[in-house]
Amino acid sequence: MIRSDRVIISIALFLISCGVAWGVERFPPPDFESGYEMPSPTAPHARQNIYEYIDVAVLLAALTVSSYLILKKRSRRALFVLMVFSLLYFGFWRKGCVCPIGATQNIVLSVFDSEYVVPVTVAAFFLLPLVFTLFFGRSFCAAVCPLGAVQDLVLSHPVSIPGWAESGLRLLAYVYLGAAVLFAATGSAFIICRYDPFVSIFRLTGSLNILILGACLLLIGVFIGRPYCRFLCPYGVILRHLSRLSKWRVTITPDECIQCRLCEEACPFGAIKKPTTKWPQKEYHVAKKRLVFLILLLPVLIFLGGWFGSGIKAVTSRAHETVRLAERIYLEEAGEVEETTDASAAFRATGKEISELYDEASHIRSQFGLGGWIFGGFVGLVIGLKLIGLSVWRRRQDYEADRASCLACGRCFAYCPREHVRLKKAKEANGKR
Amino acid sequence: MESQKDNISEHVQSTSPWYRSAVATAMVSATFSFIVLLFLVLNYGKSKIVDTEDEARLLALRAQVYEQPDNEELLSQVRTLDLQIRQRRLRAVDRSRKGGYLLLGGVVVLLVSIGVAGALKKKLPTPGLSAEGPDQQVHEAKFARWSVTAGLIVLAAGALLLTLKPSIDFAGTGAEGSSIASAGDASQNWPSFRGFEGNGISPYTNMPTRWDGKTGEGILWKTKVPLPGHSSPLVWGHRIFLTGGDPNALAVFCFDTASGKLLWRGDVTRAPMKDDEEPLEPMEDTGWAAPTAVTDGKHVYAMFVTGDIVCFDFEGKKVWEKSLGVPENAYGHASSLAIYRNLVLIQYDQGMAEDGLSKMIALDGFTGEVAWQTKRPVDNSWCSPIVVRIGDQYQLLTLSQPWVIAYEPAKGAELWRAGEFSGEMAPSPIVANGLVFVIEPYNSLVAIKPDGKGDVTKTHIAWRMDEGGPDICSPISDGQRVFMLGTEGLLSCHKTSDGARIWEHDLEEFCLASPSLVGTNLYVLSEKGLMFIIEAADEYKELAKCELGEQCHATPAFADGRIYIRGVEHLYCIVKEDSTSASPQDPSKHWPSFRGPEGNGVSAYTNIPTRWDGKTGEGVLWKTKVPLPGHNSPIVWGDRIFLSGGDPNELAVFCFDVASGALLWRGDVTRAPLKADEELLEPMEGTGWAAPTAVTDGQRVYAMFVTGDIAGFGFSGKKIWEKSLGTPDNAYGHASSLAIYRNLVLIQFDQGVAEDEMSAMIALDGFTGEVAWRKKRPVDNAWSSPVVVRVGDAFQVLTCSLPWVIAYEPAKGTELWRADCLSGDVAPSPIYANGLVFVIEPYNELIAIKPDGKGDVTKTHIAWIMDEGGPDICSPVSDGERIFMLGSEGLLSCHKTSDGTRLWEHDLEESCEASPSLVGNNIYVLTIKGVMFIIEAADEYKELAKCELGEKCHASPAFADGRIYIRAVEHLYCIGNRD
Repeated sequence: MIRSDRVIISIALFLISCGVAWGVERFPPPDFESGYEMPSPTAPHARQNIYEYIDVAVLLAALTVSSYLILKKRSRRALFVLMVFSLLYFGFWRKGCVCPIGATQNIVLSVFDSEYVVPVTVAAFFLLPLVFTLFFGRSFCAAVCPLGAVQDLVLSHPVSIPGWAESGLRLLAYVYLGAAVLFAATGSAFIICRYDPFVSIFRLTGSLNILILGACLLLIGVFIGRPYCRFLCPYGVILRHLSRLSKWRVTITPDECIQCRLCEEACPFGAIKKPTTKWPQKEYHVAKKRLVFLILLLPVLIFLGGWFGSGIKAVTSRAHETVRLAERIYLEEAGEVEETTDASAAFRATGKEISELYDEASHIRSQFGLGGWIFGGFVGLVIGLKLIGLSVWRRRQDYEADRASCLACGRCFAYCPREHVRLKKAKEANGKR
Repeated sequence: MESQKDNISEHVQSTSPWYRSAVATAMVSATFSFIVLLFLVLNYGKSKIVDTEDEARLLALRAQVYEQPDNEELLSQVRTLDLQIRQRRLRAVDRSRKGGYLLLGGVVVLLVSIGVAGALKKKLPTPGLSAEGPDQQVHEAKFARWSVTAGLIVLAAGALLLTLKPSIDFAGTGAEGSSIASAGDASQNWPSFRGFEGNGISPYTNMPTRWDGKTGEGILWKTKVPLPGHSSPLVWGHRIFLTGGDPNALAVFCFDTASGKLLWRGDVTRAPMKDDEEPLEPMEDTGWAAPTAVTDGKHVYAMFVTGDIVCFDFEGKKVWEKSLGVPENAYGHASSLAIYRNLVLIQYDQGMAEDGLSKMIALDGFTGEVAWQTKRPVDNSWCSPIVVRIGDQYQLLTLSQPWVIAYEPAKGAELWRAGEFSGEMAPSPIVANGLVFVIEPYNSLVAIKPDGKGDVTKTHIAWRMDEGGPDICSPISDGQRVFMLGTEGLLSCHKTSDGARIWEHDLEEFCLASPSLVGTNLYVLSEKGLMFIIEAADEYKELAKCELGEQCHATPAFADGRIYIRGVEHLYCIVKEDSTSASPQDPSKHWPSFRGPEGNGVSAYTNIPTRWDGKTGEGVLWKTKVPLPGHNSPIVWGDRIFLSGGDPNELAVFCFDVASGALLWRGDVTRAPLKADEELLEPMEGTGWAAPTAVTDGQRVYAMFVTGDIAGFGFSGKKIWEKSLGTPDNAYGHASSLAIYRNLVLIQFDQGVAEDEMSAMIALDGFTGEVAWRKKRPVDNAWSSPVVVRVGDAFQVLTCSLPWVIAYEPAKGTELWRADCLSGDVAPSPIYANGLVFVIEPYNELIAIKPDGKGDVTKTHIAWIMDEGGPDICSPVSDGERIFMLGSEGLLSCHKTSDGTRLWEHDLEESCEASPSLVGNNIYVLTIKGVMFIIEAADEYKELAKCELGEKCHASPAFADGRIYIRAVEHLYCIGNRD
């Protein structure tokens, strides 16, 4: 039996050693007499682990406060303040990294690569918003996500997009998610991070192309509410579906809907669902047949999607550096290119057999083939289910915030007369106290 | 009511000073942000344009520094410019950062002011008259479905477009690690008609100048060619390729350079005749196999008069074949193939120009697919295309009636053309002295400047010599002169500068083969097989005339010290007289590996010195410093001695001259970079960085180092290949020397312990460094060296390690037999003497094994075991009757080979690491102190001499004709008698 005192002493010693251990530069920089400071080669700068745990704590706190503000306080103003804080802290202070959106890839990589271990903090960043969404709706999107916050802040002249256009555009997010998972699973690239449109803005530096992309999205976001969140965010795909199951969620009215229709134009994100009437009888039969057809079409779409996904493996596999290197070596060997690149020259200097490289590249490509089947099948499934969903009649009596699409921004609260009644009562209650 | 409300809100907006302030602030901040943005864009643009020019200038200056490393002014310029660029860049970065903050601030203010204005301008919600009806909802759902469907179509179209994009198939042909030889490798071989670049110039000057086919003098071998043909031989490495054909068969043949043995025959499938096609009957002078094949070092491509073209790999495996159709050619298709990188180039001229049938075709060498083809406005012809480097680019030069046309070989784009030439074009063009020389048969020799574009007939013909020209043979040039040979035997010499004839001489022999240039000599082969060797000078001077004794039509091929001549029936290999009996695989006159030929420590020469003194210099012919340390032994071949050396920073092979000890060349070996998880190698001092002794086959030297790096060098010092096997996991550092069998370099790569399964016997192709075979060995790491010995009719590679003695068949690595009889750190190498294999179990035993077994012979083939101890490092030596063992402490013992009985034992009282050697009836034992004991190899100990070198020695010496080569820790000594 292990003695508890020994365990305690061991733990204490371990903690103490953690406290006193510090890294020593293997190649210390020279001592500059002029006071020059060496710039950090990493962005964001490397920090001690404790700060990452602080970030997790701040995330937890922000999610908690956001959920409270959405569900209990129902205050748009307070949410706005929290949003600004999140933008400043997670965006400009932490330079947009680590974020739950990118953490998706870390989780995927850890599933497929046994040698990769996800840091606890990264796992927490991935899981916490999901857990909160499961219980409280999209509180993360409401006022915690810095990408959403920066888009929300520029939204000044909202223009509503027709619902049919939104249905089509939302496919992009699923494709993006599938591609991100595929590339992360194969250890090729973290495309969510690579193409994060706002990271250059948060860091005030970075790739010009990404800066332009971010600026364009913000410009669009002046008119079309949160375009990245609604049509591109891969993490949002997961949140959408989890929030359908959430125990508590945002409602426009604090109690009952009186069908006043004042909230019809309240949501710049098209998340308010209007009451529906019964479909015309003639449409019902057609809809029934269409539904059956679409259900039968679903496996075909899944198969076709998988087939296409696998078919483009030669292209998708190029995301992997080994495949790119093998292709470059092949072109050099075949005489189709004259010079070598740094990568190909370095490879040749290793003396490794070219056939080994080709074998490795073939293996990776076959992984992309399999992954392509899954990715394409997933996209096919999404499209099929979407078509089916659009053929199903859903009866709705009241004006409701769509469970999946509602970003819980709180803009609709002020439009509801029942909300005003609640606030008045609350004020009166406070006044009496 | 509504209008009242609107009026109220508008009144609030228009009169609210906050609203106007907000709007004004928004405008000001927008303007400010725009200006800052503009500034940032300008700042970015400036750094991309101005700085880029300066950086290019800096790179150019840096390149100059490599050439002038001591030029202080240049260095100062570089430093100044570098500093300026850095300062400018850092200032730009700083401006960019500050601008970014300003822009952020401006945008924040803009957004806040817009937000405030928006809040003040907020309208009350005004829902429409009625809610959505069912029809509207149905429509919306319908459009939504179509929208999703459109998305599906877009995605599918995108995926389809991506699948259509051609991709590289790694698993397909051309991905088996095949790489095309570099131009450097090609230039050292004879890869096409008239050699590299088709210029007829031999890369080697050490050609025989005398032979006689009747007496056999100078003829190394002569081998029958199974099928006739007029194509010329190709040579690559140790392979010769020929094509042959008759009405029933078309084939490619591969012969071994060493013996002339037919290695393989590749039959070509003739495409079936078309219904309206008449049976082909090529002219006798053309035959079925007139075009010379071409090789890229990995494959050989051949074409026949039938239009069939085929590709074989070097092992004889057919890779692809295709038929271009029988060319419509008056005398039969005879244009040889050319090659550019992976493209096989075919001058497919047919009919008359107006028929529009002629074309230039490029096939992908890996697949046989047409890479490009371009029509040619020319008649049928018989000359061959050549690919030459002119300036920075390669040009594919072709000649036919009426045009000489140059193409860009990668894509087939026409570069220039010149005309108009007439006649039946058979002589191929050449390039020399910056000019393209073409022959208009019977008429003229024309020189063209190849740097034009389009039709350069009027502008780029440098000169034209209209005093006639040959009809078949292609010209040859040494740069100053161009030589033409008519079929009637008229050889003429002209200046390349203006075409003026310098001399003319009638050889009075019929000639079909084109002349070749070897150094400063012309080699002209007549149809009767008579080779004229003529000085390439301003006067005709015949140096030699050599008869082959057989008719010859094909142009010969030239390799290192050899000429390959195709007669009408045989293929001949001509060598210099003194190398006739010593083929590269006959090393007995040399000391080509650790402990000499067969690794037995027995010198082929008995005229070895027995007295010298390093202090006085008596008997020391020369002493030379070895630039890098090492424990490997010298190897000797002809007039060269090879050593390897290394330290933590460098690995190198050295070549010394036997006469003077001068360092002829040094070949540096690139160390493979360390892997990420690999620790820094620190070999034991007793092993060092260059412990394994190199090995040579007489044409190349191969060396391995403790790092696992191995390289092959030509005798001229040119590195042929190098590779890394990875750092062996060896307790004391890899010390096993290399062995050689024909073209295979044999490496005993023992690592770790047997259970790790890391040990292997590896054979590398000496020409390419490619792994020929690799066999796992169930053994621990060891330090003994493999030896190749002839046992009966066959060769065996003998290896010793813990716990097995294993014998392999060296060509394929097949295990012949093994015996479990060893333990300990096995360092002494095995030897073969008196029909037995002798191995030493350190400290314990001397074991004799009969080598004629199969499989595990532990119980059946161990002849005897002498268990009175054995040395730990030094390998034994035997004179057949006796076997001598030397312990590192200096204990020398002599035993009978018949049963291991000890005859005598003597303590030399000197530490020894070098293995003993046998010279005639004497044993030479070298101690660490550099003292050589010369002892009679007899049944009693008798010391004959003791010679001091005066320097420490670890390596075993090498013995050559009247010389001993001893590597001491710093110097290489040559001990010999002054003539």
